[in-house]
Amino acid sequence: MPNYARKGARKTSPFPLPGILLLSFLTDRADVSDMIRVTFIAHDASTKVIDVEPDGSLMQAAKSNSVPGIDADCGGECYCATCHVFVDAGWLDRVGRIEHWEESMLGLTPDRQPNSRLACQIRLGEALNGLVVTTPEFQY
Amino acid sequence: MNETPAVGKKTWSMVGRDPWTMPLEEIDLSHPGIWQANEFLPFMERLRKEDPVHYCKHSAVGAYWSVTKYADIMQVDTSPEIYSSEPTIGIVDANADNTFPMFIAMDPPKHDEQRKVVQSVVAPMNLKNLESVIRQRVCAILDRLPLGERFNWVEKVSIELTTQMLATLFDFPFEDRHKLTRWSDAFTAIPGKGIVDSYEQRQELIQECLACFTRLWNQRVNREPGNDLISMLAHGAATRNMSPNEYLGNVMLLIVGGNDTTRNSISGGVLALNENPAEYQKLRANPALIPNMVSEIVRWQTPLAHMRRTAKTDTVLRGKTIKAGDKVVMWYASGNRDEDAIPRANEFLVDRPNARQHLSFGFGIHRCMGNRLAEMQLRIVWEEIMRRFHAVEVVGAPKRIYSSFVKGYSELPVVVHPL
Repeated sequence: MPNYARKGARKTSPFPLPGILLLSFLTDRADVSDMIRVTFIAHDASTKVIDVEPDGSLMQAAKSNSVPGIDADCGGECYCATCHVFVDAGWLDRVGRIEHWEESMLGLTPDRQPNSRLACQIRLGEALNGLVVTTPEFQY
Repeated sequence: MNETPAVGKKTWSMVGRDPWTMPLEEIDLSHPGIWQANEFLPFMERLRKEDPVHYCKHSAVGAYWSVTKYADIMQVDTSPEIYSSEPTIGIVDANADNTFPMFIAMDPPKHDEQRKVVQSVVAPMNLKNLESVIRQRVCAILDRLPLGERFNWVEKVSIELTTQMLATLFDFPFEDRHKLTRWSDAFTAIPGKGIVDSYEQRQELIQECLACFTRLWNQRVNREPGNDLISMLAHGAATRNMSPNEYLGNVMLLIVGGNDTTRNSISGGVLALNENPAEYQKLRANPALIPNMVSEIVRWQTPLAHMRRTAKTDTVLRGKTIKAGDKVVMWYASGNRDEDAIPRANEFLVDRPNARQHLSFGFGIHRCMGNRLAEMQLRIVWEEIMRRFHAVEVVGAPKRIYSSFVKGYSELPVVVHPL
């Protein structure tokens, strides 16, 4: 296998405390104890909000909730660029670093932006509760 | 980029042999005859079952490894640091006559730099502008078809549409557009097998293409950069100082990439629906299946049957030791029929779940640049066919191309029946 670090799905549940105690007063966040809320805005401004378990990747969460605009042709191993998203400014420092291979794959998109990421490489966790991303008009 | 077998080497024919009893080591998927005769599937099936990473020692193109399983193809395609695209992605070893520098046959970083220059041709704004152009042309082509009368679908629809599209992408003189098809066919042709008569004739055509594209470059390099591929190459920082050979190589790549592939998927879809009438019925009942069907057609057709890599270092794949310098051929046409990766892979299903997960566009850094444009063309073709015709009926045997690379058709006799 190539030497590139490819992040797979990883379960992260460091806090045994019911999340509801901590989060229920925040209106833009999921109010079911261990779920987090993610908002997808399509290129035409239509919005889809999903509440998901904070494990696995953003791509998997999008696919299992039928979010339009995420194709994931390679099945989620960072072998293509068809789960391209634009991460809202406030969240960029919380979605993790872009590794070498993801950078190569993002290079395949003619609409690459500074906030471009591949959703398969964003690992969901409680720190991403409230995450907002925009999906591009075309996946490549 | 071409398929010329080495001349004068002794080889055996694969055509007509029993795929299940012939000696395993003699199986040679590179033999163009089995592709033209449509006999390749059981040979690939046997390799997937009995020897998925298979070494063919003797063939007209020399010794090579065949990689036939979906997962292994994925691994080779996404490991450019082990499996290089240089000096050629063609199954024929590179020589001065057949090898032109082009970004598909380059590794990073040069590949990435050159590809970035031209990939904005399929940027969202351009794709949107192209959609209405494509629809207009598809309608004009379909409206001119003779009704109730036998004709060659390949010539009247598939070639015509993809040639018009190429002319648009290059902003090539529209009235001369058939030259593009001629050159494209010549680049991948085996001399003496129908498309060109000799190596000399192919060389002449290549020179004619270079001369023509050099004129267009010279016109555009001094103008404001336009949205066409020639302007992009002439003005792009990573491409404006290319040698004539490198320019020619990249032009060839873009012509072939935008031509044969979509052309043969347009024809292949018509054939697949005729061979699977229940699927055609599903489509009639629900034309909203078209986008999904387009992915299924691209998988089913696999218009480029393989890509070649060259091992840079000794490596192991599924237990086989591949030596540095070995030729490694990824058979996309086989991986797309691999039941371990794709459930019911040997059925054509217009409503297949996860239809987008196929190998036809490749994966990794060399993934097809024009995938969305190709899908758009196919989608529009089928939308407009379904608005006009109850059936595009195949009324005779298709003629297939003599090539293990371009998997396609020269003839598909049809009659169209209006709604």
